[in-house]
Formats: sequence, structure tokens, C-alpha cells
Amino acid sequence: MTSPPDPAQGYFAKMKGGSRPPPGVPPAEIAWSWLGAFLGIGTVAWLNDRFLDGTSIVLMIGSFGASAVLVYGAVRSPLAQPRNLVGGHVLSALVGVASRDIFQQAPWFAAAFAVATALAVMHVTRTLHPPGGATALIAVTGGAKIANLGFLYAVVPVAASAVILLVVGLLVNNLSRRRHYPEYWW
Amino acid sequence: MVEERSPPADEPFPFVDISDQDAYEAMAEISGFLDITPSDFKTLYRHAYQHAVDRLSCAVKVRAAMDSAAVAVAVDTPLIAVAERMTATGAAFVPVINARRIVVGVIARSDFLVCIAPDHDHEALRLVGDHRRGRRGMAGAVPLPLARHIMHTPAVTVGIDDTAKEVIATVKRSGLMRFPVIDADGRLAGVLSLHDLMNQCFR
Repeated sequence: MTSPPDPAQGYFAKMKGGSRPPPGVPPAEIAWSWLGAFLGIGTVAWLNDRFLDGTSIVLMIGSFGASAVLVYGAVRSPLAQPRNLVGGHVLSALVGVASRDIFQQAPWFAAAFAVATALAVMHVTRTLHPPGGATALIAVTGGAKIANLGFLYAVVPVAASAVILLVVGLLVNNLSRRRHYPEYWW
Repeated sequence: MVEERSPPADEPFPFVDISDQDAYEAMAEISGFLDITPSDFKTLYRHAYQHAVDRLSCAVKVRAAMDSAAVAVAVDTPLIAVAERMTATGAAFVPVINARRIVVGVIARSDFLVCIAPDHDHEALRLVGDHRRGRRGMAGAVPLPLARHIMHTPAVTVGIDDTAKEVIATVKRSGLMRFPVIDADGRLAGVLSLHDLMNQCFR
């Protein structure tokens, strides 16, 4: 008679993994990813520097670097599709701003609440986009300039830059014969 | 990692499993980064395969696979005539029907072998012997062995609108490979073999 499996043993056994990593991508794919990320982030950064330098508005926030990885480096991923890119960022921004306003006496709580809630909201709305977590966090920890934007933060920089990355993604990702973007819109 | 699902065991379609290596190589053949592990890819394949099997199992109906022109015999058909008809058509079995075309039994080739088994006390065999010896029955006629004397009854049937999945269940339950097909009124509509059903599934 076999003894029942030890729950603790099973718990730690899960940490071993067991699957293998997916295959790498060919050099051409890497080149297209590089070009897309360069043009996407370059466009946002150029517009920010050219038109918004010295103003109270910004276009560039850190979470768009992560979005660029998905939109140009994992084109087929559900996480990189337009619904997720724009929806995930905008909803997370709204959650982040609301969390900062509601819990402004406890910034640590506001930060944790913002990211966790943004994650849940993205799941519920099928807009999961990992950089959205960063967008929510930046709303709380981004300093005075971000805080002064209030809920405008969800429009500029968040929605505006997400749309710019999306447009560049549509233009660049479809240049390659072996790529197409998006997989779906909604 | 997504939940594992065991390969299906009782489906009309043979399960073709893939290995982690198959999944890995398939992923490598697709240009671009796929954010899924080969292991999850394999599990996903199994789930998708099962859905496809379910869909096909329910999509293929007996109606499309049966032989509606198959021969049937009446309960009072002489065995000689049954044998002749089976030989002429190459049928491995024949449904036996009554006057309303209700299936009351089946006769398979093997049933004839049972009749001639040396120590078998079968009514049909006795009748054959009587017939050869020229004994007469009470009415004075030489009694002929008839279909009803050796048929299996009740017949195991399948419905004309049964799915492949339901037929497989009947095969497993009965151990038989061929069935009379009956319509909604219980009348003979054709015959179905497992072979014909498989051909229809993989057409």
C-alpha cells in the first residue's frame, strides 16, 4: 500500500519546473523587433521632447518600454494585442490615480492596492497587459508631475502613448512577410 | 502550466499524442516568439484534440454511414434461401424482420456453423435432418428450417440518428461489430458495420 503524497513535498516539487523553455527566434525576427521598438519608443520620446518639453504634460513613462517589448517582440501574444495594449494601460492608469487619491495617507498601501487592483481589473476586462501594472504604480509613485495630472494621466500620457505605440506597431510589424499584427482587435 | 488531460480512451478516433519534442519543433517552425512553453502547447493540443474528437463523434451520424440497400429476410424465410441471399450479396449478417419490417432478430454467418456443430441439439439441425430424411410434419409437409430457428433475438440495433459516439458505446456494450439500423418507428432502415462508420468518420 502506497502512502499518500506529502503535501509539502508536492509543494516544493512544483518549484523544480519540469518543462523546457520555448525555442529562440531567428535573427530576422530579432531585427524586426529591434526596429519596431526603436521606432515606437523613438516616436513617443521625440514627440515628448519636441512638443512637451518644459510643459506640465509628459508623453513618456517607463511602462511603455515594457509595452514595446510585447508589441514589437511578442507580436502574436494576446498580451500585445490592441485591446490589451490600450485597454490595459488606460484602465490601470485610472485605477492607479484613484488609488493614490483614496489612500494618499498611506503611499505604500496605495502602491500595492493600485497594482493588485489593476491586475484584477485587467483580468476581468480581458485586457491583461503586464506593463499596465507599471502604469498603475507610476500613478502612485511617479512624483509631483504625474500627480498634478490627476485623471488626465489616463489620457496623456497613457492613452496617447499607447495609441502611438499601436500605430507604429501596425506600420512596422506588417512590413515583414512573416509577421502580421494584430491577431485581433477586440 | 495548464492542467493535464489524459488522452481519451473510448472514442471512435485513435488518439495521436505528441511529445514535448514535437511541440518544441512545431513552435520552432513558427516564426516569431510564442509565449507558451512546449509542455503547455502539448497540453493545449490534447484539449483541442479532444474537442475535435467530440465534435466529429457527434457530427457523424449512422444515417450517413449505413447501407440502406442491405438485404433483410423475413422470419419465415427458409434457411437455404437465407444462405443463398447472404452468399449472393456477400452479407456477413442479415436482419430478420416481421411483416411490419420490425427487426426481430439477426442471423450471422457464424450462426450457420452453430447449426452443423456435431453435438449441437439445435432445432434447425433437427429440421434439416428431418427434411433430408423426408419425414413429414403433422400437416404432411416436409418442415423446412427457417430464419427464425437460428436467429439471435432480440437483435441489438442502433438508431438511424445515433452518433458515432453512441454507436461506439453500443459496440462496447454488446461486443458486436454490425447492427441493424432502425428508424424512429423501430422499422428496419439499413445495416451498419463499424468499418463503414470508421470510413465515414475519416472520409
